[in-house]
Amino acid sequence: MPEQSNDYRVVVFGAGGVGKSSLVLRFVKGTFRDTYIPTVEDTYRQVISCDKSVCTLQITDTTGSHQFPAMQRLSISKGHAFILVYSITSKQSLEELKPIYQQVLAIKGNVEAIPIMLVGNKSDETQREVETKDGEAQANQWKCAFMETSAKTNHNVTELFQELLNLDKKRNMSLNIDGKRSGKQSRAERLKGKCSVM
Amino acid sequence: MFLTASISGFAFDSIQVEQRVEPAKRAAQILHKKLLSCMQSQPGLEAERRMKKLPLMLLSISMAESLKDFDAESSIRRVLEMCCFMEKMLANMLADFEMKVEKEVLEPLNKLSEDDLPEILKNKKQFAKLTTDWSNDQYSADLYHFATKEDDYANYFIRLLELQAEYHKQSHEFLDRNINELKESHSQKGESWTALSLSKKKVYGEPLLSHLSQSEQEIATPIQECIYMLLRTGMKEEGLFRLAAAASVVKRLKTCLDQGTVDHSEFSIDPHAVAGALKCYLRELPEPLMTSELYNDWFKAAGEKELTEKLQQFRVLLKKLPPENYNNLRYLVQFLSLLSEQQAVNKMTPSNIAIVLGPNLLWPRAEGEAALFDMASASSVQVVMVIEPLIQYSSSLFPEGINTLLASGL
Repeated sequence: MPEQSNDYRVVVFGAGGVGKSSLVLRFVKGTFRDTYIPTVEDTYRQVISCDKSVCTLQITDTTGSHQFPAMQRLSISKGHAFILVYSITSKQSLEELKPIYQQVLAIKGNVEAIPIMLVGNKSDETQREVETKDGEAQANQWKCAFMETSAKTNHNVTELFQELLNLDKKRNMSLNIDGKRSGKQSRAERLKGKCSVM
Repeated sequence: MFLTASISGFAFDSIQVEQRVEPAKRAAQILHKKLLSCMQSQPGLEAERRMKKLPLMLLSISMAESLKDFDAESSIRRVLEMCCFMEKMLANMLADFEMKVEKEVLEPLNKLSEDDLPEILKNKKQFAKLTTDWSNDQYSADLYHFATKEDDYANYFIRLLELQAEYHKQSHEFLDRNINELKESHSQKGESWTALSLSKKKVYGEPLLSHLSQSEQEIATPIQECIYMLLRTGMKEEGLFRLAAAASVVKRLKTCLDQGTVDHSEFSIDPHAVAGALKCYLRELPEPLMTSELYNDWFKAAGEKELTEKLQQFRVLLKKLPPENYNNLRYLVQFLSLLSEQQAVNKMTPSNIAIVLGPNLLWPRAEGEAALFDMASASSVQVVMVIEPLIQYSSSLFPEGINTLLASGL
């Protein structure tokens, strides 16, 4: 188990080019770059409220282009929550998540207590290869949450991170540092039909 | 009563029986002669010497002599060894058979034609001349003897067939049993040979040097083959080396490369799989292509701020690489440089290529897993600083020009 520190570590996994960095950058900086730069590994930090206090949300944006098992294991063992990203335009990118999920399962044991979000990114794209129901079915099988997003159009990005934090039952976390959770209800309303928590 | 009846019965039969003696003699004589000519071995000799002169034995000996000219690994030699033994055994069986025929058929026939029957016929003549009671009795006894023995004489021919059947059966069973064994061992040998040649040709995970010396090539098979295919169909593919390919296709291509048989047309349609297989090869090398020994030196050189000086240091390091590593690195980097020329289409700038491929070219020596963790993470960032200028200044760093093999693939 990761040590109980002030950091809440979220690790973003996924094949190359599915938009992990775009999602993280959209969430952290609110921007979308249309450039094409693969990620080696980046870590972003943001302060969030946690149990009537504040903590640092640390987001590790991993590389999708070369999976070194050792690095992957390290990221998983350090991580509290995981975002598994595929592109709805690539069936293969969903396939690529399977070994990663297995790795999480192997290292964390019981994944049901671990917040995991399966994310189908690039929902703005028209050349869809993975239907929403296919992503839902996969999430169902993995007993994890599911959401479709678009970093480009900023669709469901903030919601993705908030939902992930909500999945952690041991902590009461919110992206709003004022500690108010009033927005949660309305957000949940907004998410209806877009997000399904299995 | 008994005697009379038998005498009278005999008297009835005696004429018939008498008429058989002469043909029996002729038959025994001629058939003995003809059967003798069927014999391949010299009659009268003991088994060992008899066998030595059999044509089969001569065949076996010739096989033994011929196989000496083959090396121990030759499958002709292995098969001939077995054949030599088998022909010898067949010769042995033949000799054994002929000895039995000789003893159980030829000799009795001979005795019949040369001794027994002439004796009867002689007595017949005497009987005709003298008609004495003695000779009559003697002749009658002979005829009686012949009559009772006739079945036995007929049995000689049955015995011949039996012996032949026995011999053929024995030979057949022996052949059957050993042919299967021979075939099995031959095919196993074939398989083990194939397996051997496969293991010889196995390239993934093999040290670069041993693969190159085994394949007698200058460029490692996966590097050459993958680049050959990518040059044809992969240069304009967006995110080549970045995007994941179907793992199953990559696996199959890796297997093909291990076996040295790649269907270019099958894999060329999937450039990402080809790029994946190339990345795998580099990553699975026991030592990084740019060597563990120079690991720190590469980073040191990359940290040099002055470009001219940096490139100079790179040149020094490139010279320090073993020639095999240098040749393959040159081949690969020159290809990557060509790939980056298409960056407007494939979006793979030298920097992007360095990010996605660099960690497969240079990685730290594993000193305990904990060390590997942080070093791997740190080195992945650093390695871009090494690989990017390598690709960007490829023509200046590799002054020999484009590798001719690579050029021929263009």
